[in-house]
Amino acid sequence: MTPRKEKTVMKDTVVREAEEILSLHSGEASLLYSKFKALLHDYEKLLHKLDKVITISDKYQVQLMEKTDQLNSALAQLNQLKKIILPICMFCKKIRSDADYWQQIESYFAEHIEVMFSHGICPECMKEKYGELLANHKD
Amino acid sequence: MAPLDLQPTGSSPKVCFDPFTGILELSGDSYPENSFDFYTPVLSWLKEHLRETEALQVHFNIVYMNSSSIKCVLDILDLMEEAEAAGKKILINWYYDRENPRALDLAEEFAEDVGVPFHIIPVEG
Repeated sequence: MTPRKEKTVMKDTVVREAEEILSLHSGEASLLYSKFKALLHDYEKLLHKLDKVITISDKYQVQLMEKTDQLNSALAQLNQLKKIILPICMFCKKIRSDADYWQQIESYFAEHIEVMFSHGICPECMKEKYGELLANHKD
Repeated sequence: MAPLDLQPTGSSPKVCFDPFTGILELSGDSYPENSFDFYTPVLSWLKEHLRETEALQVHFNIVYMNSSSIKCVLDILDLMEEAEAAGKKILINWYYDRENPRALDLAEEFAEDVGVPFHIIPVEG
């Protein structure tokens, strides 16, 4: 586990006053005294739980906000791509990005929408490029 | 004893007890419109079950909880702690997405005050 941060829990005024009353009657073994002490204990536990709920809830909110930011940023990228018409070379399929710079389609997408390409060969290209070799191999 | 098998919805988690493995599982998101309505039967079932059983494992795999669900889960952890103090064999597994940097911190926050074996286990998101 990572080391936890030291927490400062403000002592509730009610608890402070109740402790004061208890200290004044600490010698008494009355039923009222023990009931009061038990109630104070429950109240302190409840306060601790409330503090815990707030702490955890705040952390969930931060997590949610971070996710929202990520989604908004992805949406902005998507909208940007939807609005543009990409100029593409009709022969080599490079994309013209800014300043008359022609970029490989793979690097363009990797840069702009974080899409990575994995290279393979489709059946048509396999036939066109290696058809003869494959035919010879079969023979 | 009545079985516990609540299927997940968009806003409430799956809550299911397998009597063969003795594992109670809570998984999914938890932000029902009224968490107390949702968790009250779960807490009642758990109290009754803990009276009858000697051992219980609870597996949590919850991604998001609203404030009232957090309170209810803390109540479940309190029940586990009371059962452990009464001599029952209790174990909690808390699964979290290893790719979510906040998830471990949240898991540790839940584990902080719990006095029963509490395993925080990373899983692939």
